[in-house]
Amino acid sequence: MSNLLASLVSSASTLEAYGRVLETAQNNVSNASTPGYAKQRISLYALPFDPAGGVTGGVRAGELSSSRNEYAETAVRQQTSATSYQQQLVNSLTDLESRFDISGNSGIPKALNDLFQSFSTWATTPGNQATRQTVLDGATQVANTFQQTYNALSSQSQNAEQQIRQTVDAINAKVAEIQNYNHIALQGNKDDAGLSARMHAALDELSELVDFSARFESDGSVSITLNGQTPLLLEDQQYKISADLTVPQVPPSAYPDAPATMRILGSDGTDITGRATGGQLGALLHVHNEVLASYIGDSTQAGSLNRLAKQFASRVNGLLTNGQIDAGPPAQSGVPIFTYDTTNDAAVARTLAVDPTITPDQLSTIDPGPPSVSNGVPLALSQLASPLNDADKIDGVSFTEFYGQIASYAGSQLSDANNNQQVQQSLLAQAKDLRDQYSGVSLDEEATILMQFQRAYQANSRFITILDQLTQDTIDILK
Amino acid sequence: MPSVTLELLAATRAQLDAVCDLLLSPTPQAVDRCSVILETASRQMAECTAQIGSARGNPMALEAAAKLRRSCQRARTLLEAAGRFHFNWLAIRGALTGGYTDRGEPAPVHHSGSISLEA
Repeated sequence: MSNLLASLVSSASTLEAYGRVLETAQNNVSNASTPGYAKQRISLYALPFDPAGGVTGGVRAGELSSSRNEYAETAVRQQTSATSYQQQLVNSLTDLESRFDISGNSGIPKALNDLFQSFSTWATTPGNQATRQTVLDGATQVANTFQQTYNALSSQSQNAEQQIRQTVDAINAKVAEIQNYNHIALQGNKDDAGLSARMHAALDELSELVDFSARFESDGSVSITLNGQTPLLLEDQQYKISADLTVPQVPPSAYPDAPATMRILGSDGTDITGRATGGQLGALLHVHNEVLASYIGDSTQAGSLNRLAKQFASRVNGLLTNGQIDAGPPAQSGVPIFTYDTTNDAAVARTLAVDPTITPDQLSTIDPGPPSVSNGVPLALSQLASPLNDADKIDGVSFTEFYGQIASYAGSQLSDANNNQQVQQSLLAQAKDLRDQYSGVSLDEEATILMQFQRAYQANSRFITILDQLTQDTIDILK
Repeated sequence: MPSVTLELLAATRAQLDAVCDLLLSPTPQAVDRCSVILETASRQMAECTAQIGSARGNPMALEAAAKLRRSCQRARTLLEAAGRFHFNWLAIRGALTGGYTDRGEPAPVHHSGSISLEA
């Protein structure tokens, strides 16, 4: 009796399986002209046959497997997200790099060189009023270029902030669109291939904005999470994210007036910035919170531009105030020429200025020594161009070299982003090609491809390792 | 002979770029062709390394070698990405169809006893 029942169940199961094949064929015909529609297939599996053990064999339908299988779709989305990240980095860093002139013909390096030149001229004619005025003009130009550079970077930071807010809005809008598709799927349309195509198209667009995980549920809906942790969409419930500026309270900010950090908040208000890693949003957060902050500061750092401005201004002021305008008696001490916000290290570059009350005859020239040197101050100032003393350096290099380092940081970041973008575009093209390769093959054909690939992969891998080593050896020899 | 060195470096780089182009569509046939090109490139590079000493300090040779290295790294990245794609899928497919082994690894994929019908 049990064998009879088992045979009947087996037959019913087989008929159901063939029924699903016919449904799939019908679906393919109906959606032949639907844009973005991918042909679907159904796989039938032979069941084990062992009558003595009550195993009656038969045929069972495997899960309905779309030829646009989710694995390949996910790989394409990941590469899309990574490509979009690099593209956004290139755009932002191109703008940043243009703020720094490393040719020495404009901006801070030209102003510094002109001022050093004026110090040298002043050292040869210390009493000349016109030469002294040139020094004051040069100092004013240095202060102006620091302010201009700071303002340009600050403006770019604000621009990045605005772009982050727009990207967050775009993410919420795209998730809302997919939420609507989920709603339709949950109304019993889970096998609607046209709906599936629209969902995939929307997920592709979302992957340009941010990196995420998508999981298709058995009810036809798709769940979306950031980094697999923060939900953006579950069934037909959307969880909106938001962006805001913040100065961390714990630990207390070392630079309270420094530019705030941009953070992303989940729908429950928790900070999820660290989970928004890819796509446009990830790149914009990196540029705002890390790259630009390294120049103009944030709650944890003064920023390299502010450090340079402070160290330069305080060194010039120090040499002038240690000198004498008149040896006396009574001796008349020198006065500082640069002013800046001394209470906030993150505000030095934007507040740097030359004291407008200073006149050329207030510039000290005498180094009291001993021995006293009549033009000792301008001599010491002119040596800032090629310093020998550690006190005239910043991080062990001259002020001009330090500027070169912070400028080249922007350039090297851009160069890396350009190289990475080219590689990413290749990886995206490859992922799309692999998706297409998998699209039209049966499981058995796929197994053959995998075995052939595995063998060829190992040979290629060995050759590339050899070439990599030989190339490195060549570079080492050529250096 | 720096000019010979430069030519060898440029020729090797061109071969690696050809490999990169092939890896944009990493079918087994394409990857097989890559092996042939890479074997030639490796031989060429070994020859180049043997005579590179004469070009020591030559900035053009150094730049050419740096470009070659970038092409090599790009080829490696593309190959590894294709490998990850195939091997991860193989593991997922094994786990989906056969579960996991006693050691927690995805079951190996068996290809017998399956029928695939295309509708």
